[in-house]
Amino acid sequence: MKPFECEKESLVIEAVRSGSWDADLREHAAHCESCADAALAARVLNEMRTIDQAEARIPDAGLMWWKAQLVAKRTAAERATQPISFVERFTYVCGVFCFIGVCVWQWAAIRAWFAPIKSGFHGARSAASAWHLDLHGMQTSIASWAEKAASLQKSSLTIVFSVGVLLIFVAFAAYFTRSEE
Amino acid sequence: MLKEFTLSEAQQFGRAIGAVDAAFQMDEQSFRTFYDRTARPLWSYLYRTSGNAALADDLMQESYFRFLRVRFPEMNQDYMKNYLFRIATNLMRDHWRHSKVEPLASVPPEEVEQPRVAGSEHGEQTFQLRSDVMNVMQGLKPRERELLWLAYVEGSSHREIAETIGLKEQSIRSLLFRARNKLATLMRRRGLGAGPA
Repeated sequence: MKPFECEKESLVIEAVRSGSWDADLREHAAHCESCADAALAARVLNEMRTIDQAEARIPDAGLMWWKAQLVAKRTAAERATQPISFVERFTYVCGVFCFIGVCVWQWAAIRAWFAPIKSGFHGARSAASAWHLDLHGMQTSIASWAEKAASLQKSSLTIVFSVGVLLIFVAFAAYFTRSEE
Repeated sequence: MLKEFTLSEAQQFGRAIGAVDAAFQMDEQSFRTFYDRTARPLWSYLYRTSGNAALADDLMQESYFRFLRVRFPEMNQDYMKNYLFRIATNLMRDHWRHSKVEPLASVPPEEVEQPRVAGSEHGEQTFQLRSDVMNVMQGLKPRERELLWLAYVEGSSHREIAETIGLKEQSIRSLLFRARNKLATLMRRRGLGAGPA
């Protein structure tokens, strides 16, 4: 269907909206199909609007203004603390990755660290099964474990300290970059 | 969340809060005047195009919150009103898109929300008219309802409608023509086409 718009259509719509018809326009609308459709649509929709305007429960303008200010303040507060929470999350993620990295990197040392415990536990289990506890063997295992742990602790502490310092620098750099934005 | 702020963080936070007062271009008095002029038409538009009074309440509130944060090049009342309707239209579309709630067109007639106040002077007549029109509106697509409401109730020009709905101005004429024919046909079928006046 090809769109056809009568030149008086806008006048008809305005007459329906304002409620002031002149005789000629009314006569025209009665005979022009396009204007009759426009008048019908405009009349019914405007009646609905009149009903809505009378019955709608609209909040007071002051209340709306107050709420809008609250929302804006909350948004501003969220924006202000955004860099802090970003650095927090970033630090947690870095910490987890560093921990995993150190574990992978020093896997051999960690295994060696826990070896005495494993052998001690194994020895205790076999001894218990035979109802014969070799106290001397346990003491030797514990002494060797403590010795290895002390030597490992020295090198591990250096690594952990270095990673920690690096992490702090990265966190500060990220924080300042974000806050500048 | 961190419980302790450093001094610079607290200052930054304070600046952001203080900036809120300057964030609104309008002062309270101008807003009150604008709100009194636009709130009821906007609510009516949202209600008639969504068919849901509670949704209309929420979207109207959110529209004003967003509207207040906009910086207008000039404080032209008509331009600002069109901009408000544009925000509301976009919010309504976002709502349908994200909540997967069906627009009015696909809701069964018995589920369409009926008037929340029915105790007016011509209560029965009003109720019947609203019920009939709601059923007729169901036969239209959401975009058709928006077009018709803006053109025939708000009296917006084709250019203003195009800006509000986000279509090309050239296509408004034919879309409006088709929507109007569809509405008139549906109304006549329901016996609502009694004459021009």
